[in-house]
Amino acid sequence: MPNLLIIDDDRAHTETLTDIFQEEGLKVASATTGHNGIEYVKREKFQVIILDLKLPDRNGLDILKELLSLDAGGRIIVITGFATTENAIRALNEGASYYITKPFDIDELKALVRKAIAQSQLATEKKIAETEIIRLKEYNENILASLPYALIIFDRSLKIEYVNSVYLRDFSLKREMVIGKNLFETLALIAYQTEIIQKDVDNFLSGTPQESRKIKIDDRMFGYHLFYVLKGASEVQKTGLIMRDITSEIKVQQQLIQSEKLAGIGTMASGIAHEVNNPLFGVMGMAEAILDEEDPHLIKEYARDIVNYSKQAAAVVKGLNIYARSTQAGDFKLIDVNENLDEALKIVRHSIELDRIDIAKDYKANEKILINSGELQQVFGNIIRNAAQAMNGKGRLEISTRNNEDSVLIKISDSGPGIPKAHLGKIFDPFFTTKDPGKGTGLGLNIVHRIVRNYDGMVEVESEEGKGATFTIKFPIKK
Amino acid sequence: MGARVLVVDDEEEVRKVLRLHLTKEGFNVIEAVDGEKGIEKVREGDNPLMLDVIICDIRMPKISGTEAIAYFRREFPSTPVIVLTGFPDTELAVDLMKKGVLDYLVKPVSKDQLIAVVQKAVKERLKSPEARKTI
Repeated sequence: MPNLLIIDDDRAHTETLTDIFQEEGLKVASATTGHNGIEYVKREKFQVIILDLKLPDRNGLDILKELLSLDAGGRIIVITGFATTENAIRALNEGASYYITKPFDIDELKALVRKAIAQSQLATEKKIAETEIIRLKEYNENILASLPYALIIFDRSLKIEYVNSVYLRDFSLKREMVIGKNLFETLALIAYQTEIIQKDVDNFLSGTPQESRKIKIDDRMFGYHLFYVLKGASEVQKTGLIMRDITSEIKVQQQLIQSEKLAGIGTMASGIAHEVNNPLFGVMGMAEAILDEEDPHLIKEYARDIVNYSKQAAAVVKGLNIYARSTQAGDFKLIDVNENLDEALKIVRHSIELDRIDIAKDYKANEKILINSGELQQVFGNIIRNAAQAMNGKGRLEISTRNNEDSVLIKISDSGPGIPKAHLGKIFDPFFTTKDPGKGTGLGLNIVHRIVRNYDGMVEVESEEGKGATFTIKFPIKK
Repeated sequence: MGARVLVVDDEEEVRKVLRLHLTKEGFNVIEAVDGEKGIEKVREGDNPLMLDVIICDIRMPKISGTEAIAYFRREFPSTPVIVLTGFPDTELAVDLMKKGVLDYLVKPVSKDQLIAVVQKAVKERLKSPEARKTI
């Protein structure tokens, strides 16, 4: 119910008005002096105040000013007895909403009161809306600032419209340096190799969907992704770029690769013990046989055996050194896949017999790829080892390499029993293995998949039961 | 007639050494290159080829040593089995001993130790009824 305050020293007049407006459905309060009126307003909110400018205690205009300064939100209708426009205009200038002169038409006053109430309500609604807008803005900004991504919004002409605080913080920039500037120029500020992002943005703006990608900025790794900002009917198309710091994730992945290597070493340890102890038994046995032997021919034969068995044991230890070297990180450079395949074959040889396997090589690739040599050896080594184990040490292994201008392709095929259809979708899953417990961690192919994806490559397997399996690995050639 | 010893190992040098050592001590040595062949040999013929001792490795292609040993213990429980392996795995050793394997040797093993264990095996074998018939 709207509140009305009448400030007028004419009691009879005030009573009449009170009755009239109570009938109109208003709550009416009245004061006979300016002072009392002000006290009222200090205590309550009124939608409308009817103020007689001629008051006994103070100047009407002063009262008006004070009422307005109290900011009670109400509209003030001044009544002036002197038909002087001067007073009325002064009152309006001070901030009164309306004036009416005595004697007045009560209907006119009613109309003014109604208008005042309506405007008062509008003003209140406007204030509520403004508060809500500020709240939503803050809420929005808080969300954007809380995203664990750096966010940039730009228009078709690459002008940056918005960046969130994460972006500014991640790259130590100030908002002024960035808003309204060209996206590519801004990116060049933070990294040298931003051509790849630029290429992606150009492709994206011309309609080609882009995959998320990785980029190295200083010594951090960021994953980035482009997306269209949903737009309302009348808005212009905007594009968004989010960048996420994935440095620690990459570290964890590398740790996983490293621990798989260590787990692999456990498996290898049993293989190596087996492979060193066998020739060692041969050496010892032959030496003992010599001690019991008189026939010089046989002694010579046994001695020859000792030499051979010793060489075998030495070869196993040598193979171990090659593997140990490959676990050291940091050999990140242009690698010849053909050479790396041959090295991987060498390493596989001392944990599994390859002598009874026909290895057919068709090395046609003549482009190098930028990769860590140890990780590439792990990829090839794991696939070759799996192939040899599948063939039970006997069969045919075909390894081929070739390239086009974009990528290098490697295929490794075996003549083993193949992979059942039900398993094809799972072989790259972690801990998926069909080997006996203790004979493999089930991480080998998962590591292969991670390493290959890390270098933006792709690995696939094709297989039919009874017809062997072919692994195809593709690496992009990065310039 | 000397006791018959079946040697199951995929490594040529191991079979050669065992053959030399055992033959010198008067044993009859029969060789098998893996678990599958080992099982074949054990089933070949009847009495004439009944074996007195089996020496078997664990890590072999095709049928693993553990599988072959399980087969031997099941089908020919009176023929003692000696495990001779390159990789010392105590868990596996305990497991195999529980399954009735007579002894567990780790390569390289000296001739003396080998002969001692084989002789122990033959003694065990003599306690069984079939052995008394053939030896």
